[in-house]
Amino acid sequence: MLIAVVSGFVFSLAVPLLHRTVRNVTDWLVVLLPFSLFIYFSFLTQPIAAGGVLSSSHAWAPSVGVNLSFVLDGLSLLFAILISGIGALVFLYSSGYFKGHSGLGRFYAYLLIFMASMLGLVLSDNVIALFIFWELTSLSSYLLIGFDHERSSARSAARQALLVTSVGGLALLAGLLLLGEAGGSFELSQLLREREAIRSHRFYVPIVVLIMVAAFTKSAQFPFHFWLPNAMEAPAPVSTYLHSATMVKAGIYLLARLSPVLGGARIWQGTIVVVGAITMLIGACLAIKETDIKRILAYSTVSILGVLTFLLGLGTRAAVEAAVAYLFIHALYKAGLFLVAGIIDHETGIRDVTRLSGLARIMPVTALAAAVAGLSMAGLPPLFGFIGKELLYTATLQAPLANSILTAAVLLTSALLVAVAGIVSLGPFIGRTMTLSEKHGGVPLTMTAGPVVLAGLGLLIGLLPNLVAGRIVSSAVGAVLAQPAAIKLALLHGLTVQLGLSGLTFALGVTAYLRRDALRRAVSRFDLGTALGPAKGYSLTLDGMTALARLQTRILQSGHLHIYLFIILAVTVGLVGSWLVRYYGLMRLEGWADIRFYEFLTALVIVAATIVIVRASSRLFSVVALGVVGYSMGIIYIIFGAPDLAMTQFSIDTLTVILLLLVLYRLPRYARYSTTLERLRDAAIALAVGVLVTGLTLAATAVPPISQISSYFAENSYLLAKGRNVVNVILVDFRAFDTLGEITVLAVAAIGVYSLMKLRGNGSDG
Amino acid sequence: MELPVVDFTAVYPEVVVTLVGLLVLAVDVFLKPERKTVLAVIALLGLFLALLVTLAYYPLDEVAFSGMVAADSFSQFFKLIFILSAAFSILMSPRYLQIFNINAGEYYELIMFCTLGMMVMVAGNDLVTIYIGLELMAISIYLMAGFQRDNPRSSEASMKYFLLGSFASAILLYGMSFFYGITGKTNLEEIARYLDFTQNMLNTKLITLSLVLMTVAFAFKIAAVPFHMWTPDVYEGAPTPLTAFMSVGPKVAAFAVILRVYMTTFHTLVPDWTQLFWILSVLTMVVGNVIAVAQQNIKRMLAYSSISHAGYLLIGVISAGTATEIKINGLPATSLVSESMMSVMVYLFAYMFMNLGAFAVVIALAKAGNPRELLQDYAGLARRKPFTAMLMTILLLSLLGFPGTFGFIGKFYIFKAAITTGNVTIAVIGVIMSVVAAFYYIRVIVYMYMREPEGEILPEADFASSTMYAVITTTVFTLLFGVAPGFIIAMARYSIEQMLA
Repeated sequence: MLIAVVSGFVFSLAVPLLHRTVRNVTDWLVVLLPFSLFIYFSFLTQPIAAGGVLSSSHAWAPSVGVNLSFVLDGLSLLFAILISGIGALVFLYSSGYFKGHSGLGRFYAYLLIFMASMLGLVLSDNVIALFIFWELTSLSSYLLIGFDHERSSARSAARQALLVTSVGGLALLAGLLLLGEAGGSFELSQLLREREAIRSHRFYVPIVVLIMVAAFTKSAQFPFHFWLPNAMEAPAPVSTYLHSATMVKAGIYLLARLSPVLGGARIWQGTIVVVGAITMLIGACLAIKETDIKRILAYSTVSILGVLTFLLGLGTRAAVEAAVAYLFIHALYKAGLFLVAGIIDHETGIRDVTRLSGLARIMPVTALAAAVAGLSMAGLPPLFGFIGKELLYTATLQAPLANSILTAAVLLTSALLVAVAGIVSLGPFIGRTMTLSEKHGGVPLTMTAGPVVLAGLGLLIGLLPNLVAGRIVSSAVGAVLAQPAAIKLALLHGLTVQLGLSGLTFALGVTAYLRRDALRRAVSRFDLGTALGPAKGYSLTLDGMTALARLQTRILQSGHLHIYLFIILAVTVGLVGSWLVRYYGLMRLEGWADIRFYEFLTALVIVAATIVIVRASSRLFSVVALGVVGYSMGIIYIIFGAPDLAMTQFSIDTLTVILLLLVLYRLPRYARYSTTLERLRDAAIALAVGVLVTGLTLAATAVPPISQISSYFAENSYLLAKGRNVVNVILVDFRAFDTLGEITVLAVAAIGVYSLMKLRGNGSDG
Repeated sequence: MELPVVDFTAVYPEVVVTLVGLLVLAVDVFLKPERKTVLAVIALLGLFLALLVTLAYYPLDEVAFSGMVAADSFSQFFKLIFILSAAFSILMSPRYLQIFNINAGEYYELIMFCTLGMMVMVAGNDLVTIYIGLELMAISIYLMAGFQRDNPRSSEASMKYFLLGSFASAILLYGMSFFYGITGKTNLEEIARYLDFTQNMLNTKLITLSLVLMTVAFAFKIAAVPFHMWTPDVYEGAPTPLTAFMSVGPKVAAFAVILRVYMTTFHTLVPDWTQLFWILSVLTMVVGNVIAVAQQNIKRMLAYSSISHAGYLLIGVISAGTATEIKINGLPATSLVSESMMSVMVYLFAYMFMNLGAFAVVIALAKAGNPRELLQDYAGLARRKPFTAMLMTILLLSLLGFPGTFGFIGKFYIFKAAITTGNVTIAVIGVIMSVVAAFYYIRVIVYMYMREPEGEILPEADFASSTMYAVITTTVFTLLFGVAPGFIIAMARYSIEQMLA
């Protein structure tokens, strides 16, 4: 199975090269890969249906429990067959659709990456691997939607799709990490065993919410449904493959896959059923409103995705059965219809259904395929769609809660979808033959093959439902319910309520189709979506974020150094101050009487000199005052018995004053840049820092010093160093290396002074 | 009198870097201006040698120079990052220096000495060693930021960074002097022993105050909000290869020191510093990511993006801190601690590759007289330079944390560490902010692939091959370690186990 997944990635690297060298063969080569995968998975239906599960595991980062482990059960197999089978048809179709396009090689590569990621997604047993493939499908779909990026709408659609799905992706990552934490493993098969522990875990609700956000964004559920219709900017093969058959169903897959682990609780069931039902109705209504054939199909897909979601939410046996069957059916007919829409767009350049008519005479084969697919969508016997509809009604009638409301909602949706089926599969082909501007040479066989095969399958399975019932549907249902299921599908069950409802649906649908223009106007009138809908919310969020960013920039990033310094100091004072206030008892507040007069005098000199530094009108004054501060510090060192430190301080200060004088001499006089208010503000922050440092000093002096190094020096200066003058001994013996370093620094600085003086002598270079 | 034991085996990488730095300085005097590229070659060869030496001494675990230097695999891990980032920055430089007319001699020498400073910093087993390393690094960077002397923005950047950086250094020293005043020690292990011994005494509270002071200084070095204001101005003003270098080196060095000092020395003060880092982390992620959205200049955007990465990294640090407090069945949860620390180390390694790579692309596009740093300059790049656009896309996706890239591995472990240690709130904030980040990273990709350039289309300059080597190598590693991160993870784990043992 690793080969099945990886082959797509490897091949995608080679395709652009192949396309450049052996162009004609490439088209067939790329079809061959999904087709052989399709054959491979088809052969596996037998052992899987017999209850087997295939698995393989390859270590990736085993130390943290991330592995490339794959498991093929009924649910995965259903998806794998759809992905590879429809994939083969889509590749074939693309070769006709993009005939002569220079970027075809690139397109194949993106599509292959997508297919491989999608296969990886449905086969992964490790949730982190699943997440990685999930994100890769988002990325490749972004590249595919934006493939034809001449229009700006394509660009913003691609970005919207990527942003919405990557929000979901990150939610998924968070959800899966929490799930792994709650279940103690990242392997799905392991998590399934831990389901009791997970359900009672304190992370249960966050896990459910995050996973739902992920599933709903991917599968275009309300309120994230807006990205899917906008993504219709994508070329038709992409819409077919990603936006109807496979990628948008990844969210459904996730819900189905995790429902044995997470399902059952009220929050899970309730939210999914409600969201699914809302999506179903909104999708159907909005589909009626549109006139662009692809957008109509997109909204009807949204509607069906809603149906699938709410069926999975119900979680009963009948509901799951209906969901699996419907998923299969929908993939067949909707892919067919999207391909048809692509053919129409390709041949006529028109996508507006009100302007399309009478195409049946120009493209009879396409028309036939469209009609069959449309009938399946409308749910008429003897097509597969009819069986699906029967199952759907069975599920809602047997629903554990609110079954009448759900049945009514499904009835309404289905009736609207019957009308939609008429609009897209009947409308464009009947009526007055339209005149095409350019001479028409017939639709290439590569493009008609897809719709014909898909429609034919819909008919075939409708007639012989047990062709798939036992092999594919049962095992998929079994996987979702986590218990074996044997399902028989039949076209007719006799005169049941379901049959009556189907009849009613069809009657309502036909009425709706006949009065479609009136209906469209009515829906448009009540449409609040453009003003209040989530799409508006999306653009408001984007604008709001940009505005917020600008505002923050203005406040925090003014570019003025003193503002930066102000903020840094204010935060420091705030942080340290808050701790100091909390431990205010640390400060030692007695002992003021011990201060001697000359200590006080020195302090006074420092304060006075500091004021001079700030207030002086000439640089010379400031520098000299700075020197005074430095010397007074040195005096303090002497008073407290650190003569070596005082020596260093004196020499450094002398040097600093000289250097500053030499440099500052060349600068112009002080100018006053700040207003009085700003000066007050600066004074306030200076004062605050002063108070803080005073507080810290008071706190520090409260702690008795650990060691008295001066007594050590006094005792040992003669014994160890044979010197009576303690200061000398410290400087040249105990701290000889320090002194050496200081001398070196002074020497280097002296060279600097010398070069500055030489510069002054020349007086040219400024 | 006895001299301190000089154990050079502990500092071979530092010795190599120092000698090569001096060699560059000496050779510079004898070179004609047009042959200065030779200096880059010497520096690169020297760094390669240093890399080999560091790898050869990787399993080292000893304390040298009277306990001032810790030559352990923890420091070797970070030395690898510094050496690689210096090498990549040098690779990006020659053409940039040439087209912007920057004097090459001191340039390479300063990169070498800055690297040395960072190496000393992470090897520091003593507050004094750490401070000396930090100052050597910082002073080199102050100078480097102002290297483009004919550009007023560059001088402004240098001046701003110098003044604010001096404040940060002063605050750091102030905090350190408190430590010394209270404990009488500067050696990290001795301080740790003192703290263990005096737990719950009055002194500890005073130590908390000095801890806050030191944290402020480190927050400045990692550019955490609200100490980040210098970053965008400095990053924008400095020559771009140096911006790349200073966006990685000092940040990584500061995180390395934070991990070592806070996890091994201040482990009795965990509740205090996790609280502090929590606030800083949230502010950093929110402000960094949101402001980045508004940027039109790509260097500024990358500056804010690197600010926000510091926020994610702090999540890992917080997790490591809280992990020390977690007891499983009455025993300390050692594996949680080491996993959390590992997440930070792996993230830093990933950050080095992807951030340097992104800056290298910016450099590759620069032209004489036109640095081409605006978003608009990237419109339609995919058509003009498809290969470069593809590499940039990969690097941006990695910064975003997209699966399959090294960036994802880093983010994955960080968030996993946060969740397993119970820091769920901050992990969720991190995830939300990653969504915001998606907006501005993807915007660049949209510009490259889907926008048409406005106005006249200028032909792209010939790319200097050395810059492209840097871009390609960083991208390859971003992908390689994105798919197979086992090697880096094993190295990080090994060094943490050794340090905590």
